Amino acid sequence: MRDPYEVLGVEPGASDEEVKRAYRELARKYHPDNYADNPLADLAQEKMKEINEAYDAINKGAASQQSYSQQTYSQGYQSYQSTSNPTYAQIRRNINLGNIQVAEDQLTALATRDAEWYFLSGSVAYRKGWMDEARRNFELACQMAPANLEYRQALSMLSGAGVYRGGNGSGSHVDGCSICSSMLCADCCCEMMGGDLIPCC
Amino acid sequence: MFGYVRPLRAELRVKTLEQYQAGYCGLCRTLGKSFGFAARFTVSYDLLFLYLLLSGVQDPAERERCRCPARPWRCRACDADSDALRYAASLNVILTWEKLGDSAKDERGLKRLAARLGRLALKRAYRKAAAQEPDFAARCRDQMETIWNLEAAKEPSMDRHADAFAQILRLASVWFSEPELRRPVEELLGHVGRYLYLVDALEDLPKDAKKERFNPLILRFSVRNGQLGDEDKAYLLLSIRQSLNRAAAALELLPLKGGEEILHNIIYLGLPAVLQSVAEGSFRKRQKRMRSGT
Repeated sequence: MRDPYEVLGVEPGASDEEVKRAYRELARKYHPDNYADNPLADLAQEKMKEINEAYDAINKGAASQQSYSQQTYSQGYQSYQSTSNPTYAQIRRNINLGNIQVAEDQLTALATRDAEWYFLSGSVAYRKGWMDEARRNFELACQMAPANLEYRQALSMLSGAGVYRGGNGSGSHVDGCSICSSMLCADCCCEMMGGDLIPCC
Repeated sequence: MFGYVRPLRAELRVKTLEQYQAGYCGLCRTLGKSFGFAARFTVSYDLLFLYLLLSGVQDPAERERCRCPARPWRCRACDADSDALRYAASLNVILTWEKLGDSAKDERGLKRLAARLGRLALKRAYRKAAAQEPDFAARCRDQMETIWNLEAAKEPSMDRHADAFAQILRLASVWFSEPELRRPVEELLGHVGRYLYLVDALEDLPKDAKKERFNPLILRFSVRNGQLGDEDKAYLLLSIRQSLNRAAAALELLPLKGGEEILHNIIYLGLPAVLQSVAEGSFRKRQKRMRSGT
């Protein structure tokens, strides 16, 4: 195993605070969300694992310092609802495995053009980096099945102002927007359980 | 090539700018040494980027002093000859050769003549480069055919055109045999290729529309007076930026040693700045101003 301090890019004598900051910075960079549906997702995952191990190695014994490895992430399509159509299930598997050409051929061979077909075509295009085709297919899928959350998520990923991460990684981890939305979210949860966090709503 | 892949100089530290210039001089010198004096004129920022990418995972290159034929009165620092430099130089010659072939086919009049003369001057250099990188030269040739066929068929998908071009750049990644290096480089070059193709199409749009020449954007969007509508333009810019996001994500997976700062600058700052100035229509104007020295 590589020197954990080298992995995190800090000096061996670095303070806890420095280590934590370096770790957070790297974890944000290689977070699986940044590599969703990316052909390099496996490399990013390895990198994340290396960072987590390095962080754990430095903080051995400190129970409060837990790395992100304890959390589980949604991995690509695995978390999405399963499809009823066996051919689509097979195509999804191929996309997940990175057999993009096979998935594309399977899609072309199909006669039906329903919402899921457009969604999967969009996913194939996205994998290949064909951003225009991907977005157009996701738009069609959403038009045909406006209630489908999976399709809407895919489209919003491409129609939002793409998060162009700053080169040397400056910038805070929490922005005003996410604080507000977390608060609202927490409020909803509280209300559901009978309490209330924000009395006015 | 196009010359769009360049750093945002104002954000570079002095030593990084020196590293960039030493790379440029090194590439130019290797072109001259390997392929003759005429080949020096083909030196391009795009292939310099490739060299920086290939050498970025190694320790910084050794520096030498060399005399620039354009300014013979002063010595400049330049990167010592290396495998990465020779590879980038060969690809530079091959890609320039294909680009000139494309111009000779598309252009009319003086420009066509210039492209043909250029090809004549580069003929020996091309043969030598193609002998050094036979696979790349042959597949590059095939890919040019694919591009022309798509153009002739008036393929409406701009991604398909862009991908046919991006494929050429992806081929350059075979330089790395280790998959953990080759895969991110291939991905990175593919997305930069899409960026290049679409930025070039956007830059050429007014001219192509006037002369009724092929341009993928004319087939994809409705173009009036050689201009895209505001909405279409915003859509296109977003789509190109998304390619840059993916290129950046790939760059982060490369274990960079010497080239980290310059490569980050190019991908995160340089390419968006060029995109912005092309979108505003100020890219070529700025070029001319820089050349006249003001």
